[in-house]
Amino acid sequence: MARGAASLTGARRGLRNPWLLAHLRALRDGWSQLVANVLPTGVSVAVMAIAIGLPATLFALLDNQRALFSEWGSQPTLSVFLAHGSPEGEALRIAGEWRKQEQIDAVEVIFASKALAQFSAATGFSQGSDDAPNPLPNVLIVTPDPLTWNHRGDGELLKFLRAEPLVDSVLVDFEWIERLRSFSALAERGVWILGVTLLLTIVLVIGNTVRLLVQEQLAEIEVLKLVGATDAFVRRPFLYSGAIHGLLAGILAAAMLEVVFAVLAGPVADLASAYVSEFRLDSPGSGYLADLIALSATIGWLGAWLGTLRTLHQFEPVTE
Amino acid sequence: MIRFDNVSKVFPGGNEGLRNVSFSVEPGEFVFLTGHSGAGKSTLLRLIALLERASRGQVLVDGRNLARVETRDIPAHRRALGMIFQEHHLLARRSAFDNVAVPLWVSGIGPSEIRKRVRAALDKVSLLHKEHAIASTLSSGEQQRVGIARAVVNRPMMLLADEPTGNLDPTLSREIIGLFEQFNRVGVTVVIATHDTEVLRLHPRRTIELREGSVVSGAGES
Ligand SMILES: Nc1ncnc2c1ncn2[C@@H]1O[C@H](COP(=O)(O)OP(=O)(O)OP(=O)(O)O)[C@@H](O)[C@H]1O
Ligand SMILES: [Mg+2]
Repeated sequence: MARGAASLTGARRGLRNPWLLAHLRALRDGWSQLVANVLPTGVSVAVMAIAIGLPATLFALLDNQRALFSEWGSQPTLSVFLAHGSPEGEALRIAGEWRKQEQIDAVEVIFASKALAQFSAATGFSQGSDDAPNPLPNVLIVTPDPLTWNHRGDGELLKFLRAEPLVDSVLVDFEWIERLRSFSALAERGVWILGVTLLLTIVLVIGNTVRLLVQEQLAEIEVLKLVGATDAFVRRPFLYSGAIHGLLAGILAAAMLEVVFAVLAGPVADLASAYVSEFRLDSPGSGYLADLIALSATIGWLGAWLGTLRTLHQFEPVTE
Repeated sequence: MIRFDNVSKVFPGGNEGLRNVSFSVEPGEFVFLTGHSGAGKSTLLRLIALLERASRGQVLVDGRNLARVETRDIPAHRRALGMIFQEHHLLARRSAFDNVAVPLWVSGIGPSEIRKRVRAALDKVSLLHKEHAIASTLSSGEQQRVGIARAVVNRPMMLLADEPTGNLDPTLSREIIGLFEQFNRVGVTVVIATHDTEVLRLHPRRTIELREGSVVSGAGES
């Protein structure tokens, strides 16, 4: 009994679903088109893998950077300096009121007296006389709720804090993170544009590759149409060709991405620990890679569809 | 079954293939189409199979005006009839079996049925022993017979053959025409274009003669 490729032609018993069989046949034909054109196939698969792998890798890196921001940004704090000489009891009262606010996560109170003691201990300067006025104010360290915190830092929270009569000044000391954040938003948009552009390029690359395959089989296509093959039937092997292209390119792109992450992981970890950060470069999960491969195969299919579009109609009789 | 009413075909570029052709073929009839080279025999058959569309006039097949058949319905129309081409038109890199199986694949017929029908068709043209041979390795006459097997495998109601005996020796010619007669006996309408006078002499049937794109005799009642 014939096995392997021959079994797909319909000799195998049990495979009786004509629809399934037609697709298996088209799949096999699509595959053999690729095998018969190893070099051009290899080249366009490689081009496609790079064009898909590059934005995919950049996206995954951006995603990691987002994780980094949430490590930094999850505890943004505002230093609120109360007026000189305001009593410690008032500081506690204000802290208690602010803690009830929805837009505030936590309030830490640093009493002037304690700060001064720490300062003296650390520097060795003594205050000289106990009744000299304390030059340091009471300070409240406010942690805003990260969900409502306005990243531009000019939001309602600041207004609210300043509305308290005893507040002298508010210090927002993480503006550089905000700058970085907006820079990265820009970078993300750039990657999107790059990604879409490359995606269109891939569709054209695949379309062109498939068009060449079609040109090569013009005689066969004509025969098929002469005996009454539908466009769908004629097109199907080419679509499978394109999808296989995309599939292979997607797998290659996923592998490229994993390599990039593996290469970067070590240096990034070193860098992070130098800044006492827990940050680790995480390669994207298998879900991301599966999506990537599926997207790539879909694009291959789409490109092939475009590539077959024009040729198929040239065999139709024209009416004047 | 087939009816041409004042049909003309002008090709892009101005070549006139058919000029004001009218004739009819009844269901179950067996008709020869003859005429000199370039008379328009192939053009006439191609109009019936919707490989071309008429420039003027009406072509009716099985009561249907072909001008009204939309492009997307052409494949089904072609599958409903069996056409044998002057230039074989086989899939060169495929086996004889695959070539005959193509119309059945397109129709979505199951594999065991395909196998049965293809082998029966190949047997009819005495080519069962070449089932696995690649088409391009077959002789011209063998390729022609593969084309005939492909045309009959879908059990069409009508067979259109363009010079089916062009590359065959007299014995094989007679066999092939005999095969068409066999199909005709079970009700299949047969139209054979040929300028093989030997065939016409051996098989006296109604003969439509074309000259320079016009019917000169055998048009039948109209
Ligand atoms: N695609 C085409 N474009 C332009 N002219 C064509 C085309 N097909 C056929 N013709 C012209 O139409 C006329 C009839 O051609 P056709 O092929 O029908 O002749 P035929 O009777 O089949 O000849 P033969 O016996 O040589 O096969 C010829 O003059 C031919 O040049
Ligand atoms: Mg001809």
